Amino acid sequence: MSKEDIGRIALGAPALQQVVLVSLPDCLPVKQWTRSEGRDSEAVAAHMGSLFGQAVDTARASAARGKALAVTIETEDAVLMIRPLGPDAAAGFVFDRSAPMGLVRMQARQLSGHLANIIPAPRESQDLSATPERQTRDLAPHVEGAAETIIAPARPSVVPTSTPARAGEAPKTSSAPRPRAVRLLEFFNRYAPDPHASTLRLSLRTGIGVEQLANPEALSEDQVEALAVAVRDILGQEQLGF
Amino acid sequence: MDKDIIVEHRSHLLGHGMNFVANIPTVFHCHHFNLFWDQTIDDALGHELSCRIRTAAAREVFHDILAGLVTSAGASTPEERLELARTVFAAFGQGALTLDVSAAGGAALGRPLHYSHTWLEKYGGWIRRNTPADALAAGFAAAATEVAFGLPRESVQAVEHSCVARRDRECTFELSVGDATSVAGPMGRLQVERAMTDPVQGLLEDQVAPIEAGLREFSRGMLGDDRGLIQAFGLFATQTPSTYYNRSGYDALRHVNRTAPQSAPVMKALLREAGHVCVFSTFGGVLLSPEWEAMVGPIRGEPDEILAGSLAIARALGFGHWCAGEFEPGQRLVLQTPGGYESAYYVSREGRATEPMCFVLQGAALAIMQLIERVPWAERPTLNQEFYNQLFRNGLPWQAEETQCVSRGDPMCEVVVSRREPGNGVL
Ligand SMILES: [Zn+2]
Repeated sequence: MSKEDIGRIALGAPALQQVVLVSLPDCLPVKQWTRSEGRDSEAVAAHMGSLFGQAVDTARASAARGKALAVTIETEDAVLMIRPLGPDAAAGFVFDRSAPMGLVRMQARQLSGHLANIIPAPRESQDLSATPERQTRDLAPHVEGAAETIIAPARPSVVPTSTPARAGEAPKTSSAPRPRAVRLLEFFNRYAPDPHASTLRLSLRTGIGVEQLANPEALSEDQVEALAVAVRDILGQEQLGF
Repeated sequence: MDKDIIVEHRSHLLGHGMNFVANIPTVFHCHHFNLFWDQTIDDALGHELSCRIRTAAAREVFHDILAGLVTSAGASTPEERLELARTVFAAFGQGALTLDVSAAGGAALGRPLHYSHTWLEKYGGWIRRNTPADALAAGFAAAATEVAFGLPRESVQAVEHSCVARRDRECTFELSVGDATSVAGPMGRLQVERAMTDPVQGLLEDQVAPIEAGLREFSRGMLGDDRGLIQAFGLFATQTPSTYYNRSGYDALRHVNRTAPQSAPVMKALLREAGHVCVFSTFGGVLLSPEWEAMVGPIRGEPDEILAGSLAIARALGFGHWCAGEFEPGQRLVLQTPGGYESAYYVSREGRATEPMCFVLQGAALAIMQLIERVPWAERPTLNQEFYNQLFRNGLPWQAEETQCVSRGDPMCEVVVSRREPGNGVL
C-alpha cells in the first residue's frame, strides 16, 4: 500500500489531516500520510508527534496484553484516534477539532475498515470474512461515545453470525459453520457504498426479495451464486475469497 | 464560441417550474443524483443493456438541443458545429469533450467528465469500478457527430473504451455510423406545455415567490467552469435534459416489469432514493450556501423557512411548480404540483399510467421533511456522504405516498409525507 492509496482513502474525509500506520505490537510507524493543501504539513506532523507518542505508549501497553485497542485523544485543535487494523497493525488518524465528534468517530471507523482491507495479506488466513482483521469495524460499537482514552475489548475470536450484520453491529456467537451467503452479506454490508440502499441494490441485481435477503441461510445454491456475483460487481472486486 | 449562448437559449415555463434550453426540457441535478440514477439502471438491467439505453437516451435528446442551437447560432460547417457542441457540453457542467470525428465516425476524448470524475471522487476511495461511467457523454458525442455532419437522428453509435472511473488515464470513445435506430417522437416545450395541468396555489406563497424569482435569475447564469464542471453548494451540478433521466428510467422499469416483475417495487424504491439523496444534498447545500445567505439571509432552521426555500429551489432548478398543500411541522407535509418533469415525459411518451409514476418527486418530498425535521441547521453541518449515511443508515422515520399523479390522469401530482407506520417496510 502506498502513500497515494492512503491519500485516496482520505479523499472523502476533508477534516482528516494525517494518517499514521503503525505495526503491532511494537507500534513502529510504517507509513504516514499528511494532507498538504492549506496547512503546514510538517508543523502538523510535529505537533501531533508528541500526542501520538503518548497514545502509542497506551497502545503498546495494551497490545502487550494481547488487547486490540481504540484510543481517542482530544486537544484544543485536533482529535487523534487510534484504531486497530487487526493483530498486526493500527492506524492513527488526526482530525481537525472543528469536525463534529460523531462524524470523526464514524470516519475513523470507516477509514480503518478500508485500510484494513488493503493492508498486505494477514499472517493467519485469506478468508476475508473470517479473519479478525476484517472484523475491525465490528469493534467499533465498544468505543462509540468515547471522548477519552478507552481500551476496547480483546479482538473477538472467529465470530459466527446467523444474520447479516449491518456495519458496526457486533456479530452474534454460535458454534455452527456460517453459510456462504451469511459471510457474503456480512462482507458486503461492511464495505457497500450507500449503506442505506445496499440491500435494495442486491435485491434488484439478483431478483432475490428483500425479505429473503434477511434470511440468507435459506437461500438456494443458485441464489447464493447470484449474490456472490452481485457483491463482486458492486464492490468492483475481480474475485472474492469465499 | 461563448458559453453565454446557453444563457441566451435558457427559458422557463412560469407557474410550472420547467426549464428549457433551445426549447428542450432540462433540469439541474447534483452528482449524487446522477450517479445514483445511472447506478439504479445498471442494477436493474446489468451494465451492458443499461449503458445502451442510457447512451441512446442522451443521444436522442442532445441531438434535439444541438440541432436547435446550430440553427439559431448559424453554425453551418462541421467545425463550427463541433465547436458549439463542445461549448454546450461544458456549459452544462458535463465536462470537457474533444471530438475527432468525420461523417464516418471517429473518436472522442473526455477529461474531466462529470460522471467519471464525481464517481471517482465519491466512491473511488472505497470501492473499485470495472465498467465505464460516461454513457451520457457517449450519447452526447454521437449526437454531436450526427448534427455536425447532417446525419440522421439516432444513427451514430458510441462506445466508451477507457474511463477515469475505472482508473484509466482518460475517457475515450469510439464512434461509428450505422443505420438509424428507432426514432423517438419529439419531447420539447410544446409537449411539456400540453402535459401540464392548471397551476395550483399553496401555503407560504409570499415567502416562496420572491426567493424563486431570485434563484431563477441566479441559475440562469450557472455555467460550467474552465474544466467544464459546475462545482457549487458543496457538490457538482449539471444541467441535463430531463429526457435523459426519464427515458432511461422508464425504459428500464418497463424492462423490469416484463422480465422480473417481482423486482419492480425494489427498482421504484431505488428511484425514489435517487430523488431523496438529490433533494437532501442539493437543496440542503443551496440553503447552507453563501449565495443563499447573500440573497435571502442566514438560515435559521425554522420549518416554514426550510419548506419555502425548498419549494423555491425546486421551481428554479426545473423540477416543477412545487407547492405546499398542507404542512404540520413534525407530522405531515402535502406537496402538490401541476405536473413535473417526470409526468410531462410520461404523459407525452408513455400514455396513461395505472399508478403514480413520479418517483423523484416522491423521494424529494420525503427529503424536504428530513431537511425540516432532522438537520441541525444552527450547527451548519456539512451535508456530505458521511452525514447522509449517518442520518439514514437505519432507514427513515417518514413515509411518502403519491396520492395523485398527472401521469394517471389526476389534476395534479400530490405526495403526502407522514410518520412511518410501524411495520411499513422500505418498499
Ligand atoms: Zn406524478
